[in-house]
Amino acid sequence: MLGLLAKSSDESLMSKYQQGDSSSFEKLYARHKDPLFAYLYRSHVDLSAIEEIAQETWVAIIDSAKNYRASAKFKTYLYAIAHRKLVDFWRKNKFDYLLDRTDGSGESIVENIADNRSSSTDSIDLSMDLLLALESLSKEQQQAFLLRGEGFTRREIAVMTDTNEETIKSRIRYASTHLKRILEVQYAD
Amino acid sequence: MPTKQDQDDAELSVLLTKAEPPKSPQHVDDYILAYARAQAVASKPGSRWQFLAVSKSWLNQNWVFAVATISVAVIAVSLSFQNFITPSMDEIALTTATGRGVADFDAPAGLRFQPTQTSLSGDELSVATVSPSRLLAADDNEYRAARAVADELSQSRLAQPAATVASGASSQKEVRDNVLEEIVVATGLVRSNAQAAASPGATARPRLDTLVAADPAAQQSLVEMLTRVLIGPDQLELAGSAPLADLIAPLISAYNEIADEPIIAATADRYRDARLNFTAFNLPESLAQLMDFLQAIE
Repeated sequence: MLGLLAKSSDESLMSKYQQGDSSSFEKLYARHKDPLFAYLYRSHVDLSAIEEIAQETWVAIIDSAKNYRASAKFKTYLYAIAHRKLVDFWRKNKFDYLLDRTDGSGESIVENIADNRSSSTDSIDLSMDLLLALESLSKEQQQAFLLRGEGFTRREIAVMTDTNEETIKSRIRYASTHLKRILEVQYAD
Repeated sequence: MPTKQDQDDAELSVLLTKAEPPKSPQHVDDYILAYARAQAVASKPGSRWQFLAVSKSWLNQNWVFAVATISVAVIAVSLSFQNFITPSMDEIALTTATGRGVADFDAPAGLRFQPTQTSLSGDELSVATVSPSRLLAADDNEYRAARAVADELSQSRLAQPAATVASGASSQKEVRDNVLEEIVVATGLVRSNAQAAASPGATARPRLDTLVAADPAAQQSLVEMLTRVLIGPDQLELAGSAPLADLIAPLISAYNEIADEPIIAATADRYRDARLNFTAFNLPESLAQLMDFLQAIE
């Protein structure tokens, strides 16, 4: 119930901001700024790039506030814009959008983590391993997995990423299996 | 009911959040909130800045239309202004049909005719003359009509009781001067003395009146030429030693009496021919200009 209230409150805050109430936006921003920043951080580890994308996302929200209609959840609206900004950034910077991530020597990051896991279990946090493993996924699989982790449904993710629900389901399954394989030893522990 | 896949996804997501991500930096927060406040002020109903926000969004969608409209408006305004802009004397001189420029007015002795301003140095009488832009249009009729209006107004003003005009010996001349000035400024046919004086080279050029006053031979040649043009070669009677004002008075009268269009045209043609053969010094292009100058001397 509290969650429902909070979600509806996002839309009402945005509505008040449309009327010129800047304090409503401050509440909205305080609520979402860190989770959004975390999502961007998991998508791309370059902090300066994340700051830029976060800023552009919020500026886009402010600029289009006048046209905002509460037909969808505010959070979906916010993350859809952030996702588009991320994709634009990757394209602009010629990031490999479809292929698996590799390190400087061309080795798969996934394989590197799997090979080193026995010696690094004690020193590397499991979450950090997962974070690094995310880099081994294609950007599309990574985004599907991360947005799912943010609580969006497959249908919402499909809308946000301009794909169909089945494709999203497939990407999430592949990403999940892949990540589990990498972290198999830690799970066993 | 959650599937095994959903449970695995959830576990991984929880695991992912355990790695504490960085927080949104303060400088980004400050920027976003300041920007949001500024936009909130602009979007407040009744805000004086609201129209700017509307204009911005409208421009984003219709910028092509806006640019096209502004371009058409600028072209229309510039075209309409062309009808009101009177080119300067120098521009006129440089663009006459015969291609004769200001330099063509140079007298052999280095003297020049200043067609936009004449004055008598003796009594400071200053008379504004008809704008060359109109004179060089070769429309003597138009000039003469304007001149007639000017003379009428001048005469009527001069006929006012002496008490209504400025006192002093030169009051009539001053009145005439002022009247002419008012007329020419109001009708736009001529430039004011102040404007003429402000034009480049206005003080640098010696005046034709100086030349005529100082050189009896030049006076003679000028009077002879004008007599042929205005009265006819048979009527040429020269009073060699008479003052210039006496010599030109009948010529001015003859000029002012010409009213028929064919005669005006024929006189203008004669002047054109005579001017080409006149070697004493360079003359103004139009008879009207010259007569205006002589009337000022008279």
